[in-house]
Amino acid sequence: MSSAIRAEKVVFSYEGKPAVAGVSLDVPRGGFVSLIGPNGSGKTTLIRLLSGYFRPQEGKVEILGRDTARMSRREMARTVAVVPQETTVTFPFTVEEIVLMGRFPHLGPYGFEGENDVAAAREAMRLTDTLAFASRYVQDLSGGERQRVIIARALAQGAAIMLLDEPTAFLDIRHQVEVAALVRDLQRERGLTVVAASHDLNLAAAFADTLVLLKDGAVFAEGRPSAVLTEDVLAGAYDQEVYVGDCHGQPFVVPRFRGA
Amino acid sequence: MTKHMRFALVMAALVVGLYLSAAVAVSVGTSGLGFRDAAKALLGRAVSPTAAAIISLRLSRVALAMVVGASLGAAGVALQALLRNPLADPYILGVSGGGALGAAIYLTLTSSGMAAFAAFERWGFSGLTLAAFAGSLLASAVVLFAGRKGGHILPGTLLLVGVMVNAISGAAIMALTYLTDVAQSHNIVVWLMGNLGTLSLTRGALAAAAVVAVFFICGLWTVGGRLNLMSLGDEAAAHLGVNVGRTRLVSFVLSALVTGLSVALAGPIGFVGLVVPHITRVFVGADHRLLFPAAAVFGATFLVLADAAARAAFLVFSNPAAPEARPGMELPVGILTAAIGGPFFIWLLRTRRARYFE
Amino acid sequence: MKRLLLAARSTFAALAIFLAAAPVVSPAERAAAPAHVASTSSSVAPAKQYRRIVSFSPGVTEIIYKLGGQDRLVGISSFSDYPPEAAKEKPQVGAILNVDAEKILSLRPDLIISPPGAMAKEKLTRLGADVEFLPDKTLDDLAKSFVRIGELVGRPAEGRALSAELASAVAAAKKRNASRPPVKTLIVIGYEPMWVAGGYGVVDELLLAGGGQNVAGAVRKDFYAVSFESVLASEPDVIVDLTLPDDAEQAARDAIVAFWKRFPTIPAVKNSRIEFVDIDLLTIPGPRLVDGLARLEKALRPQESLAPRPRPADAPSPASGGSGSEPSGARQMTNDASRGGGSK
Repeated sequence: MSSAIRAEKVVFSYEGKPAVAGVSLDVPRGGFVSLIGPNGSGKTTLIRLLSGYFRPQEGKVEILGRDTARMSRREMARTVAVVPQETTVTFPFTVEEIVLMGRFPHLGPYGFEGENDVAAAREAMRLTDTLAFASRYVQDLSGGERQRVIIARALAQGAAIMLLDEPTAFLDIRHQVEVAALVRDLQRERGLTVVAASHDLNLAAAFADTLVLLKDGAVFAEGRPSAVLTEDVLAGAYDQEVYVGDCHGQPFVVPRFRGA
Repeated sequence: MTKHMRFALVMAALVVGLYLSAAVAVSVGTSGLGFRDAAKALLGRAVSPTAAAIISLRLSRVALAMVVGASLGAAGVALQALLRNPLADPYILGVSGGGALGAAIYLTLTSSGMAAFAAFERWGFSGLTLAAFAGSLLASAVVLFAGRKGGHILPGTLLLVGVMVNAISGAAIMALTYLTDVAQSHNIVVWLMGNLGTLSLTRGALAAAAVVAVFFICGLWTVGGRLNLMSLGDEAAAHLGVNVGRTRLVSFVLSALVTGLSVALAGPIGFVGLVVPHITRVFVGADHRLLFPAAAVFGATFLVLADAAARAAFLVFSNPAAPEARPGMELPVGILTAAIGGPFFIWLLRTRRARYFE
Repeated sequence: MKRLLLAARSTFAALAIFLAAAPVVSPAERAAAPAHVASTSSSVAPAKQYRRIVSFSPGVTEIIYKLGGQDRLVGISSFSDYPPEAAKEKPQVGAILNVDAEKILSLRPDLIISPPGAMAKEKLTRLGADVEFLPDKTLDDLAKSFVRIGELVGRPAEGRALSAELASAVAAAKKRNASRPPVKTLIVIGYEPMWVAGGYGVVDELLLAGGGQNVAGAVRKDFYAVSFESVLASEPDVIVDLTLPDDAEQAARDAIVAFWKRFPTIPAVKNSRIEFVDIDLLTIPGPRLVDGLARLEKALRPQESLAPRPRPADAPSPASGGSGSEPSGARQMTNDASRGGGSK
C-alpha cells in the first residue's frame, strides 16, 4: 500500500460530454505529481474526482487504500486537502479565522476549536510565513499572500495529501516560485503527497517528480519531466510546435512562434 | 484580547443593552405614563388599575418586539450567508410576499371588524395570523422547489425565484386592493406596514411563539460553523467536509420558519433583517457562530428601541399642561427601523470597519 | 458633438414615424370638450336642471332618492347599496379607484356628482358631462349639499327641507344635552389596528351634539389609527362600535364584547356599555344621519327617551311651489307640524 492515491479507469461526464474518459493513475506516498495538458483536457475534473467532490461514474478512486465512494465527507477532508485556483471571501474574515476553518473536519459536535486546533493553525501559518497577517482581513492581502493563506488552511487540515488546482495561475513569477517552492518543501520535509494541476510547463518541470500529460480526458504521456517534455510529445498533446531546452539542468519549454 | 473574550464582552454588553432598552420602552407611550409609574407597576406597588393595564400592554408589546427583532436579526444573518450576498434580507426568498398575500386574501374574504379576527381562532392566534403564516410557508416551499436544479439548491436560482415569487404576490395583492371595497383594501395596506401593537395575541400564544422562535434561532446557530465555510464557496466548503446541500436546506427552512412567524405575528417590518447583521458584524466579526446569538440579541434591542420611538413620536406634539389633548397616534415601526437603521449603517461604513468587496 | 447630432436625428425620425399615426388615434379625446366643472364654493344661482345624473357617492344616491329625484339618476357607484331599489335598478359605474369610463359614456350623462379629490377630478372631468364636486366631510358641507342636490334634480324645496331637518335635529340634540355632563365616548370603526373617529368631521360633530365627548378627539382627523394605550388611558364610559351592520349575527357581537372584556379597567367595559350602531347611519353623508344621531344619543344615554322629532323652523308650506309630485318628506313634516312638536 505504498500508493497514496490510485485511480482506476475513472470516467466522468458533464451532461453527456466525457471530461475524464478512462484515466488510471498511481501516485506514490510522498510523491509530487503534476497534471499538465491543454484546456479542456480534464485536469480540473480529475482533481475533483481525486478529492472526492465528484464521484466517478465508472471506475474507482482509492485514497490510502480506501475507496472514496465509501468515505464520508469529513473523512475525506481529514485525508485530502484541496487548494483551489482562486478564492472569494464574501465576508470580512481574518486570516486566522480562514486558516482555522481548515480544522473543521476535526472539530467535535459543538463545532468549537480547541487548543490543539489553534496550535495546528498557528503552525500552518508559521510554515507558510503568514503568521504576521493573522489578524488582517483576507481581502486586504495580495494574490500571493492570499494563496499562501489558502495553503496554510490546507495544511491546517492535517491531511496527508494535498491537491492543488492551478495554484500559481494568477501570480507573478516571484510569487509563483515562492508558492511552488513552499509546496515542495512541505512535500520533502513533511512527507506530504502532492498532486498539482498546472498550466505552467516550466514550473511543473522544475518542481514535480512525475508529470502526467492529459489530452481529451485521457492520459497521453506519463513519467519524469525529461521524458514527457519532448517536442514530439508536446506537439502531439497541445497541437502546437515547441522548443524544448535545458538551462543549467532545468528543462524549459518555449512555444515555437511561427513567422518570428 | 482573544476572539472569545471579546465575544463574551460584547454579548454581556448586548444583554445589558437589551434590558436597558426594555426599561426605556416600558417607560414611553402615548398616554404619557413615565418611568416612575412603570417602575411602581413593575415592582408591584400600588398604581391605578388603568396604569397597570397600560404597563401590562407595553410589556406585551416589548416582548413581541423582542421576539420579532431577534427572529429577523438571526434570519438576516442566515440569508446573507446562504446567498453569499450582503444585500439579502429575510424577506427576499418569498416569505414577505407569501405572508402578505395570505393576509390579503384573508382580509378580502372576511369582513372588517373584530368578527374577522375572532371568527377563526386557533391556539390563541387570530385567523389573520394563521393565514399569513400559511401564506409565507407556501411561498417558501414554492421557492425551495423551484430553486433547485438537478436536486441541488443553487443560491443564484433561489434568489431569482424568490424575487419572482415576491413580485407575483405583490401583483396579486395590488389586484385585491384594487378590486375590494375601500375598507378592506385599507386594512390590507395598513397590515403591510407592520403592526407591533397587535391585540390579537393572547399571552400564552406569545409565549409559545417566543419559545418556538428561540428554538429556530438556536437551530440556525448550530449550522453557524458550516455557514462560515460556505462563504468560501461551495466547492471549498465541500472539500473541507461540509455537506453543502444539507446545510443550505437547513438554513433555508429554519430562516423561512422564523421569518414566517415574525410576519404572521406583526406583519412585514422591514430593514431589521437587512441592517442588524451588518451592524453586528462590525462589533463581533464575521464568524457565524458568534454572529447568530449577537444578531438575535441586537435585533431584539434594535426593534424594541425603534418601537419605543414610534410610540413616542407624537408626544412631541402634546402639551404637558393639557394631558387630555395628547394625540394618541403612533408611527408604523417600519418607518423608524429604516430611519434609524439606514443612516446608522452608512455612518458605520464611513467611519469603521464594515467592509465588503473592496 | 457628432453623437449629439446623431441622437437628435434619431429622435426626429422616431417622432415623425409616431406622429404620422396620430390623426388615427383618439378621436374620442377630441370629442370630449372640457366640461363645466363646479364646486359648491363657486356655484352660481341654480341655472341648469339635469336629467341624466351619475352619482359617485353613496350619500348622494341616498339624497337623490330621498328627494324623489331618482328618475333622473342613470348611474350609481358600486358602493351604493341603499336604498335597496337603487342597487337593483340603477347601473353601476365603478368607484373612484376604478371608474368604468366606457359604462359612464354609454349612459350619456349630463351631470356627474362626486366628492372632491384629485383622482376624482382627473378621472371624471373628461367624460363629456358637467361635474359637480360636493364636499361631504362636515355637517356644514352636508347642509349645503342637500340644498345643492335639490337644485340639481329640480326639487329645490325638498332639498332645503332636508337640510333644515338635519340642522334642527342637531340643534335640538345640542339643546337637550346642553345641561347634561358629556359622556366620554370612543367610536370604533375598525380593529387591528384600532381605527376610531377623530376630532373632525360628521361623526365627531354628531357625537358632540348627541351629548358625548370624543376621547379620541385630540387628533383632528375624521378617522385614524389610535394607539391602544391612549384608549386605556382615556377611560371612556361608552364604546360605540360601528363595525357591524344592524343585521349581524349575535355571535359577531359577542366576539367583540369578548375582545373588550380583556381590558376590564376601561369603565365602558366594566359597566357593559359597549353599544353597536350600523356604520352606514353615521358615515354615509346622506339623509340617514338623522337616524344615526338618534341612535347615537340612545347609545350614550339608553335610559332617556328621546323627544319626538321637532318641527323644522323654516319648512316651506307643501301647498306652494315645488315641481313634480309630493315628496314623502314634506308629507311627514306636515304631520309633525300638526302634532305640535317639542320645545321651540
